[in-house]
Amino acid sequence: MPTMNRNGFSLIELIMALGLGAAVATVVFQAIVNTQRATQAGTQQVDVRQNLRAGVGYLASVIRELNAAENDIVVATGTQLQFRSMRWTGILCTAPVAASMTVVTMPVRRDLIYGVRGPSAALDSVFVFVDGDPTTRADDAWLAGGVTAVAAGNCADGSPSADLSVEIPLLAGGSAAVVAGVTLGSPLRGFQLEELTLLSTGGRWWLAQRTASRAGAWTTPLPLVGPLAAGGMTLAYFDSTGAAAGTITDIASIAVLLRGESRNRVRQSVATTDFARDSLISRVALRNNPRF
Amino acid sequence: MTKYFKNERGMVLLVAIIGLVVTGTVITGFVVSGVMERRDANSTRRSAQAFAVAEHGLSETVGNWEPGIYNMLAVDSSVAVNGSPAGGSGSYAGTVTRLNNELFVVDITGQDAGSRTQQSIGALVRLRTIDMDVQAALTTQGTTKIGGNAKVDGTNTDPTAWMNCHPDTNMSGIRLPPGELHGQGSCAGPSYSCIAGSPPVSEDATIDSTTFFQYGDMDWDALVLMRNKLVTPGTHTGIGPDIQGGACILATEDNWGDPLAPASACGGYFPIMYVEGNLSISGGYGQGILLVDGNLSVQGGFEFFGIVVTRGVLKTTGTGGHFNGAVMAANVDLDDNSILGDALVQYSSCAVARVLTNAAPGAMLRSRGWLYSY
Repeated sequence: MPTMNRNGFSLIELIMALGLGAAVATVVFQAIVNTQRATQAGTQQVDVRQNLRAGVGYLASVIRELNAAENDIVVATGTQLQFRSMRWTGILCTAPVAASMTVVTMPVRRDLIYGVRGPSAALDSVFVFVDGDPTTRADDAWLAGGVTAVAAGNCADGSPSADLSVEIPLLAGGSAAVVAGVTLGSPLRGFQLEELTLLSTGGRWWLAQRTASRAGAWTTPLPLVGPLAAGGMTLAYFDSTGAAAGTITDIASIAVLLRGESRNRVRQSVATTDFARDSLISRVALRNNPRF
Repeated sequence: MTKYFKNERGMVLLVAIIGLVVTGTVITGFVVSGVMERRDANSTRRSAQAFAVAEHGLSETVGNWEPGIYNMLAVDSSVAVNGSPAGGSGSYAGTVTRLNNELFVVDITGQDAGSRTQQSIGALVRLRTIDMDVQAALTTQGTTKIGGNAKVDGTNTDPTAWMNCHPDTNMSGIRLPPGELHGQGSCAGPSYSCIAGSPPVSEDATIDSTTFFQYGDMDWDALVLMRNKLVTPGTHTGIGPDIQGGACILATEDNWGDPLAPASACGGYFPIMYVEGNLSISGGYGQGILLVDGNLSVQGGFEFFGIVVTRGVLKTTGTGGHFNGAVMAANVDLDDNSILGDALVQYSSCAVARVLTNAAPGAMLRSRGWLYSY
């Protein structure tokens, strides 16, 4: 029995052991918490940058295909860009046939359609290339019309085609202008109106996108990239000399500035938490403005 | 004491393990976020690199348009293009596809240096037709002697064996400033029986250097820059097509296409030949646009289909030469043109249009010619 008593812990020993253990546990817990916070902050920072790159990448891709001089840009402000967004490019594979004074059937080769999707009767308007006098580029033009129907068909050589019924306004010459001026092999470019703008929802800011049908019905704006910092998108417009563009049709390049912030707040010091923030800037030249 | 030390070793182990776990977690956390950032940044860099390479390929293909290859394509057929920018930043490959007589689509896919990312873009290209002011079989600017058995005819005539020529109006036989035509022998004025056309002779006081050296938006120097062939000044005999193994050998200096066999390998080859000096041709045949920065002397029955522009004078002798298309002799030194011997200058709208189209460089459509081709 005396031996057993000697092997036990005294109260002091127990208190010291518990105290020491608690201190070690506190230090370890704090280290783990700090580690988790640092990792979370790093991940959030990475997410912000990924978002910014994706946002600038998308903006650059749509801006490149614009032709501001021929009215592809409808609205251009510091936080809003409304434009004709190119969706597909097709090649006429059979001579156009007039179906009425304003409607012309234009088969495009299915295996030579470029773009994010094929033609849509509900969504698309279309530009039709008119060569005019083949000896000069001066009279080359694009006729604008609307795609009213898309049917499966065959090209003159038997390959599959998408037969577009295209409505050309009489003011632009109607179907006669197409039949007379559009040659086999001419390109068609399908487009629909799209808007990119800053959207505030749920207390956060987003780069939002909405698109319009051919009839003009707009979709509800949906967040595309974000969250952004308050007022986190700035667009600036420049003409071909690099000066600020005076009018929409003068725009030759667009500078894009996105300021992103993290989804969650991260601890930035012992007492404060805030969103992780970063920004990305890019300047994109419009590739489809008229040239000589 | 032994038991005490055992307990202490236990705590050390526990603390060490916890320390390692914490340290490992810290390091892992930072490594994970670092790797994520690096991957995303690399992906963006590769994507930008692939896009830049694709744009380089597109610019190179359109900017260095090869009429001898692309303009010879049949409608709906393609030819492959590829290359890589200097510095090893990637490579591009794609196709040039002919859509109709004037239009092409160039489809280029660029790859980053590690071939891990691709970007596809394209261009709608239109031939920049050279706009020459052809209003007669022969247009000159100075004294022009015509005689012997020579004939100048502005009646539109399609070259033999050429397909898909369209009917067109007749032109003047000779267009020149007033008082500069001197018919000789049976071709003496005022009837000039060796000259035909509508009218046979068109005296035009407005003829000046722009008539010969300005071609729409292009001038002589621009046209010279577009040459496919630099022909050595001096005498050339036996000009004709060079076909080896079924392929038209474009590099051969005296291969000026094959107008007599349009379906042959050289039948669609319409080069722009430039001679920096005087040129004397004896025999043979060719087609295209012949630019002579000097005098042109032709004999031996040489046959040419297309357009000849000479800064100096045109002289034909003996069996002379047969020109099918149009000849413009600016004789800037005001020496005499002499169309003698058995020479024939025959206007051909088809020959003129075809060489102008086939020699034309490509350029992106004036607007909306750039596209994503995915």
